[in-house]
Order: sequence, then C-alpha cells, then structure tokens
Amino acid sequence: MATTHPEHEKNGIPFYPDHVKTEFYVTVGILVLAAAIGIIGLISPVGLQAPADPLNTPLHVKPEWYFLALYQLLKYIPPKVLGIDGTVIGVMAPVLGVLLVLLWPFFDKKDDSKRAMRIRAWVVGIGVVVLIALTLWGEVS
Amino acid sequence: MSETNPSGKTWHNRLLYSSAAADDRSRMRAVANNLILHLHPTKVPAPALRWRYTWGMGGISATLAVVLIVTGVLLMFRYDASVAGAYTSIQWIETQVMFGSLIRALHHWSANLLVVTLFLHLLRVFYTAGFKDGRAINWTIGIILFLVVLAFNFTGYLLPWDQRAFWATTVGTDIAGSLPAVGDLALVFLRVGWSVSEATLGRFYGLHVIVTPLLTVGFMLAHFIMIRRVGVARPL
Repeated sequence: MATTHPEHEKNGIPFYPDHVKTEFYVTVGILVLAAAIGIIGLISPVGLQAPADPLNTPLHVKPEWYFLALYQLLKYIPPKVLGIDGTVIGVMAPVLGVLLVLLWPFFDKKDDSKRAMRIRAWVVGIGVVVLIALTLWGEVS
Repeated sequence: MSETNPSGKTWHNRLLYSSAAADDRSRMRAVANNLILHLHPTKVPAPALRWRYTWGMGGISATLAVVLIVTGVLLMFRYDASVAGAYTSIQWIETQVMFGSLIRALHHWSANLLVVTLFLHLLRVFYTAGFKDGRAINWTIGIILFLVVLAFNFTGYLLPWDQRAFWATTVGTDIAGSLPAVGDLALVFLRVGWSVSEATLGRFYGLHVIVTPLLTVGFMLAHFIMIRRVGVARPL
C-alpha cells in the first residue's frame, strides 16, 4: 500500500514498484475470489430451469435482480399520477434519473466543499436505500 | 500526474508522437506523459490510492471484464444460438465439457458481481467528487459503460433459453415497450417482432457477443486514456 513518506504525500508515489505491488495484491485477491466462485460453481452449478415454453407462463415472472427495482416501481405505481399515465412516470423516472446522473458534473462545477460532500452523501444514501428497498420488495413479493 | 505535454497541440499528436520539444527535459516529459510510449503514469498521488478512498472498485471491475471476455469466448465455442440448440448446448457445457460448469459459473457470477462493483465505483466517485476538475467527460463515459454492462447482462440472460430466461426477457422487454412514444419501436427492435422468439435469441446473441463487447472495450479504453491524461483524482 501507499507509503506515508511526506515527499510521496505531496508528489505522488512511484508507479513502480509501489503501486505495482498494490496491483499485485489486488490480482492475487481476485484470483482467490475467482477460485472461490469456481469451487461454489462446482458444488452448486448455476443450473438451468425447464426449457423455455411460451405457452406456459410461470406463477412468478421476474426480471433479473438488477431490474427488479424498476419492475417493482412499475408494478405498484398508481395508474394515474397527477393526470399523467402511471406507466409513463414509472418508465421515465429512471430514464430521467440516469440523465441527471449523466449530466451532474456539467452542472456541479464549483470547487468541492465539506457541505457539498454532505449533500452528495445524502443523495447517495437515499438513492441506495430506495433502490435496495425496491429490490428486496421485488424479491419477496 | 496531470502535467500537459508541452509539445503537440492536437490530441493525436499528444497520443502518438512526442514531437519536437525544446530541451531534453521537456522531451523526457513528453515521453513519460505519452500513453503509447509510456503506458503507465510515472507517478501517482499517494492519498488517491488508499483503499478506504478508492475501495478498489474500478480495478476490480476492469479485472472482472477481462474474466468475462475470456470465459465468454470459451462459452461461445460450445454455445448454439438457436431455439432447438441453446438449451441443450448449455446442458452440454454444464455436464460434458471439461470445466464447463466452472467456466459458466465464473461467467455468471462475474457478470452479476460486475453490476455491483460498477455501482459501488459510481457511488464512490460521486461521493468523493471524482467527476470534478476536467473529469466530467470521463464520468459520462463511466455512466455509459454502466448502461452498456446492463445491456450486456440483459442480453446474456436470455441465452440459456430456459423458463427463467424466457420470462425475464419477456417482462424486461415489456418495460422497454412501455416507454412513451418510442416504446413499440424499442419492443420490436429488441424482440424482432411482437413476441420473444428465435429471432429475439439471435438478436440478443448478436448484441451480446459483438455489439456490447465492442462498445465496452472502446469505452473502457477511452475511460483509461482519460484517467491517464487528466490524472488520478485526489481526495479533498
């Protein structure tokens, strides 16, 4: 890991050997993780369900877990919100959310401060809690 | 470090040549700052490398991407993108191919993990304001990469052609279909028709093994080149 030499604090540590050493540890860690996944995969394979059958709809149809929050939002949004079609809001909210995230740096150009950091912490916190809550809800419902 | 190349004005000059520099020192700097001539930065700021600051998520994501490419190519050797063959080819990979189950598990779990690590990487960069000081474009590239990876996972999910895959894709494409104005267009583009069929499988396979990988690798290169050019962000 990075040294704490005052010179290095100011001007940066040499990429070689200091940073390369860190990278080496990371690589070893990832190889260990890969091996662990491999062992889990051998004990309990990813597996397959029954072959796809368009005529036989399963009881609980769910998308992949990373789309569950979006799916849950769509499922439970009221049909009309403020006179706008609920589905449109349910689909457009994430699209607008992604656009906001995409364009954030182009609006937030001031020098960083502790206050701005706190605001971002709240944005992150609320966003993550909502996302996780929706995903868990989708998982159990 | 973010010292700019004192020579060449255009980006390709900066990228490819170290053109005429005034003295030895600036020539040396031109080489050290050049991406092709000197792949790694000569120095990186120590505070920007602490684990509690970076979480190491960018590097882990990049490594997962490499794992996914390698295992993905191996799976492609045996996978058959047809309704008649998809399911049985996965069964074949799982049971008959040497280490097939391992390769598929690595591919499956790395893909799922990649969504998590990319999301954490995004959160960390957002929280620490890594998108400031000339890094706005790279932030945008990062978000695009995340969306491409989601498309990657979405298209890959259908390929085993089992019940879970089929119906997840059905509801997933339904979500795309409920977009205002362009919904029907998106739905027909994804499904190649109004229902999930063999044509959908072909489309998702093409998107999964050619389109999204090229986009990913291209944007990853851009992402890394930008980090190299602008420098690693320092903590506040």
